[in-house]
Order: sequence, then structure tokens, then C-alpha cells
Amino acid sequence: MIREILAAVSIGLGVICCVLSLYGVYRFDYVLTRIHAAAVVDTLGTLLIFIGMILLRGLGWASAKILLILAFQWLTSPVSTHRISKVELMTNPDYEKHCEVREE
Amino acid sequence: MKTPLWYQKLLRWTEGDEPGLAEPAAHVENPPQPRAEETPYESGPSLLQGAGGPINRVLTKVFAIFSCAVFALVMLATVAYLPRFGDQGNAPVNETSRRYIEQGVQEVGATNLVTNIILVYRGFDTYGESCVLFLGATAVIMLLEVDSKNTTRRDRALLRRGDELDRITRNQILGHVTRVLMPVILLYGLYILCNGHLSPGGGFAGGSILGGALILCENAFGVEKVRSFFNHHVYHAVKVGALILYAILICYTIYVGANGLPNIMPLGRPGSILSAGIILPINVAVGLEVACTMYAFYTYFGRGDL
Repeated sequence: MIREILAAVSIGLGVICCVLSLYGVYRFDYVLTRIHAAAVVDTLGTLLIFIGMILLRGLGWASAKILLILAFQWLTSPVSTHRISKVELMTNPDYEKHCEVREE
Repeated sequence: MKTPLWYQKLLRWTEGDEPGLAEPAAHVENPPQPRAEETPYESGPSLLQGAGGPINRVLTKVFAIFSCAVFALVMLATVAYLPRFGDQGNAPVNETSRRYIEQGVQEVGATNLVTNIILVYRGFDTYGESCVLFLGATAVIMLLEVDSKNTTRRDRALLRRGDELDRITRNQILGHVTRVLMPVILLYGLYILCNGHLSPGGGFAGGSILGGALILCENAFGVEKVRSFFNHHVYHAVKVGALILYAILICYTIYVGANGLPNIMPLGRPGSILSAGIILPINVAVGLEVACTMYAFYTYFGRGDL
């Protein structure tokens, strides 16, 4: 019973993350900010939803496969985000107009 | 000797000269040459506008409308000959599909019935699809190949400059992640490819995964790395060899089946990986074909060379 409630809470939070990320993609108007919003669903959203699924399913081969999928997502999604934003920085000379850049 | 329009646009974009941007990017070494403003293609009048005088124009319009009407009529007449919905003689309820379901595993040997149908019972059709892939890649190579005959020296130098820029700005993150993920992706692609007769998957799906792995390798390590093991010779050998292998296998199957000869390809035990006779080699051939085609499309649209 407690397991199901925890799983439901986790999956619900994940769905909320997805919805917020989708809203952000349409709400923002610049590549870097939009990609920031879109990356939420790939990392936090999948993490919460997968945790919920593992809680529902219990430990086993299915959970191991879900963890493998999560590892693949977490490896590939930030890299693609990084590449897209890098291309934006390389090709758009006045990106500072759209977002604040802090020099370290 | 004209530069394609899309390529000029791309150059303008990479040089920061897009109308939306204020000034050129800072990292352009040589100042952009003054570009001719005329459209690069001497685009003649299109077919519908007519090439000659007004009579010609009217004639081409009449011809266009006439041919469209004829095609529409042919299609509609075909629809009239389709079998009625829910008829007893229709394809879903006739003996062909029943035979596929009841005797497919004994006759062909693959537990995945879909693979039985598309690769053996309807193998000639799938062979046509492989030929379409082959012809598509060949046409792309014919149209987009960059060599000294169809491109000016300046454009080729610009292309090389793009490669050089790519090499300089290649970053470590993608390389490290690709080094970790590449074996996994290749293994998954091979699994899908070789398990096509046991589970969903097969040549087309596995081949696209392998092609995607090649594209990822090209992005992460540069084109020289891919060229070291996948150059023109390997490409043509793999592509033509896979198609010929498929043709030989499907000819053998049709010949044996049509003449009622015994099939010497071992069917094996249904469910094990080395079973189902010709399906495994056909899957491998299709997968190689698809992988080569995907990578060729990617590189020829981007660079004009393999």
C-alpha cells in the first residue's frame, strides 16, 4: 500500500515535470532558455517516472532494464543539449542580448 | 559551375551574415568576399508557365489538366474494383493468411511470423524495397557528389575549411560519451539485426541503428576516423555485396519453391538463433544495405563526399 502511494507520488511529480517542461518550451523565446526547459523532461522527468515504475514493479530484471534505459538517457540527453547550445553560441554572435552572461 | 543555393545560404549563415543577425561573427578569419546577388540557378520557366509563347503556355496547361484527370480516373476506377468490406473472399479471411499462421513456423522456421511473411513468402517484394534503397543512395551520389568537375576550387576550399573548423572545435564531451556508448549501440544494433526471426526487429530496424551509430561516430571523432574503416571501397563492396547476396538467396528460394525441390537450407529448431534457413543471412544483408544508405545520405547531403 505504502509502495503504491510512493510510486503514485513519484510518477505524478514526474508528469508535473514533463508538463512544466513543455510549458517552458513554448513560454520562452530563445534557444538557450528553451533548451534549458526542455532538458528537464529528459533528466528529472524520466528519473521520477522510472523510480515510480521500479517501485510499482519491485526489483527484478524489468527494473534493471529500466535502470539501463535511465543510464542511456542521462548519458545522451545532456550531451545533445550541450552540443545544440554550443552550436548556438558559435553561430550567433549576439546571444548576450537574449540572456545574461556572467564572466567567471 | 554554380554553387547550389542552399549551400550559399548555409555559408552566409555560418559566416554570421543572416539578416536576423547584426554583424558577422568574430571568428571569421578572412573577410567574406562580395557575393554576386543573382540567383545561382539560371532557373528557366517551369513547365506550367510554358516555355514559349502564349499558345504553348495554354497547351501545357491543357496537357497538365488532362494528365491529372486521366490519373485521377484510373485511381478511382481501381477503387471501384476493390473487394467489399467484410466479404468472405477478402484477404484477412482467405486461406493465405491462415496458411501463414498455421504452417509458417514449420515451413520457414522463424517464430516471428511477420519476418516469415516479409522475408520469405513475400521476399520478392522486400527485395524490391532493398533495390529502392540502393537506387536512392546511387541517385544521391550522382546528384550530390562533389568533385573537380562540378564544383569550383573556391567552394571545395570552403568545404575543407568547414571540415577544419569542425576538427578544431570538436569537443571532448561528445568524444568521451561516444567512446562509452558506441559499443552498446553497436551491440544493440547487431542484436536487433540477428534476432529478427525471433523477436520484433530485423534488417531494417537494426540497420538504421547501425547507420545511426556510424553517424554518431562521424560527429564525435571526425570524418577521417570513419574513413579509416569505411571508405568508398568498403562502402561499394558492402552495398553491392549485400544486395547480390539477397538476390541469390531470394532466387534460390523462388526456384526451389516453384519446382517443389527439397530445401537444403537447414531450418533448425524454431526459437534458436541459428535457425530459419535463409532468414538470418537475408536480415544481415538488409541491415548492411540500410546502414550504408543512411550513412551515405548523411554524408552526401552534408559534405558531398563519403
